[in-house]
Amino acid sequence: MRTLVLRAKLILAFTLVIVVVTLCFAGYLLVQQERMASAALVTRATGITGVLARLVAPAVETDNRHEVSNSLAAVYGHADLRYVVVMKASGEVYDRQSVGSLAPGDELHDNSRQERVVQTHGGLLHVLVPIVSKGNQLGTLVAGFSRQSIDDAIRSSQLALLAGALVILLIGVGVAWFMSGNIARPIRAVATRLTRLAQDLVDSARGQESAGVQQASGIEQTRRTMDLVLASAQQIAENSSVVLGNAERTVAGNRDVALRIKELDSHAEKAGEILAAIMQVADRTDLLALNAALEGTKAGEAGRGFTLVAAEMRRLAESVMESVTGIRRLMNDMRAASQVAVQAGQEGIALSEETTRSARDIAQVTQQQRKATEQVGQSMDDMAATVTDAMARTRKTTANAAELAAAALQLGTLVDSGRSTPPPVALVEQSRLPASAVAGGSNR
Amino acid sequence: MSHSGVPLPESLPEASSPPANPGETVALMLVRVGGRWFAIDARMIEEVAVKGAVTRVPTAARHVLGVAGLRGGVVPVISLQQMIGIAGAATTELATTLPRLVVVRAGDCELALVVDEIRGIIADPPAADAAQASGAERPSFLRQEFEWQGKLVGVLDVAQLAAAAGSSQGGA
Repeated sequence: MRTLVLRAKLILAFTLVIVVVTLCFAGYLLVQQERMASAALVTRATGITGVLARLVAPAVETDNRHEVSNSLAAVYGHADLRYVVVMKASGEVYDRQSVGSLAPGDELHDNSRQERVVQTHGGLLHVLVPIVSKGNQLGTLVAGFSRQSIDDAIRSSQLALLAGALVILLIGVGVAWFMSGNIARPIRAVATRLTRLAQDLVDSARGQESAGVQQASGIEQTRRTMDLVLASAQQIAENSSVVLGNAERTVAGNRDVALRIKELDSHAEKAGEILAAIMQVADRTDLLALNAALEGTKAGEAGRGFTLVAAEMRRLAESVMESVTGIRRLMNDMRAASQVAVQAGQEGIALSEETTRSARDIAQVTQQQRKATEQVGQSMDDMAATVTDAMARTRKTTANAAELAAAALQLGTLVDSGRSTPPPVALVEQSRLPASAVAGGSNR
Repeated sequence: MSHSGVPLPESLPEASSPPANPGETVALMLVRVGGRWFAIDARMIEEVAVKGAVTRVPTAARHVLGVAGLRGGVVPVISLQQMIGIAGAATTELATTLPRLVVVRAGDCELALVVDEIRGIIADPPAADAAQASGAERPSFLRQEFEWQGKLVGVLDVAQLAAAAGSSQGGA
């Protein structure tokens, strides 16, 4: 019975109902028919017997046995009449008629009744009617009626009822088939739709799971990237602090170099003053030597030696002046170079200060970046936890959808096994995604 | 720089310069004015001084820069550059010393010539005919020219120069 489909069950139920109703109706009809037929038989028998008693009363009174026989012959062809006995008051059987063979004892010979009595005995209906003439009971007429007609009528009625019941049963089965079809069809359609919806739900849940896995993977990737960014920011911060220290040392060094160059320039200026004095002395010496040579030349031969000495002195003075000039040129070049160096040092200080500011800004920005990166990492963790929770809920939804699909499939099978809805693909296999695919995003 | 004394040729012209005795060498002082070189008879030179402050004289000629106080007296300062018309920027030579004043005497007249450089005193000037054809119109105070170490040197006649400076000064 468990394998019966809903429609068969419906048909069976209809059929059972029809059979029960039909049986009840038929039984009630047969009982009523028997009761009515019995009543009609009693009525008919009492009527016939009463009439016979009145008919035979004159003949019994006159003791005309032939007339009694004629009177009894009048009802002899009655279908149910089996015997008629006319008894005198003395108990003597005055006359009797019977149809067919009767077993001894089937006939009831009772002369003690003074009123009409109906008895059932030996499968026959016995009617005892007193034969009265002019107020005197002459005897008793007993007639026996069989239930053959009733049984025949009941049997024919039973056949007719059976045929009618069969017809009703067939009609009922047909109606039940039609009605069960009308009932099962929408249920099947609903089951099919439910199966399809469940399948869609399962697919959607799996898509959500897949998206969740990808999202979790993306979050994990982003988290790793943020870790790298954080490490880079840390490295940048360390490097920028190193750069800051170097830049500050460079500024101090450049300032020291500028100070030293300034001192050097001051020394060079003093050396230039000394050189100017030497130059002036050499110039005077040159002038004196020139005048001495001139005087020596004027002195003629006597002054020749003096002239030579003066010329030598002048040569020395000129050599000193040339050397001084060369030194002054070198000093000028050196001062120009030191000026350039001072200027370059100033530019270096400015650049170093700019580098210091930039390094400080970089350190500050890197600090902010590190904080922002840590916040992003925290957000990534929160997102990973949310995604993990969402995926757990999605897995539960998938399981529920699979159970719903299975229930829809079972409903479709119950409705009509011959035309069952297509089984949802892989509904049985639950989407059991590896927990590690998701747990990695949050369990950091 | 300077050369040892060598007798001057007999043909060395002389005008107002004192004549040289036989066997006596003539010494010349080589000076540079702008881009040109001149030789002055050393006997005509009183002294060489540093070119100090020169006081300008109103209505003086253009080549008279002014007067300067030397040895307790006042000496007119003459610019040969202005007299001859030498471009100062034409020379590429650089003076080792400061500008000098060469004080020459022509008779009673003393002149201080502004020179940029004094090379020295030479006693053996080369032959004068070696550079006779240098200039077409030579000033009267330029006696002759000779070539010395690749440079054309003009020999100044101090008397003529004093006369020219004086006449120009008087004319101005």
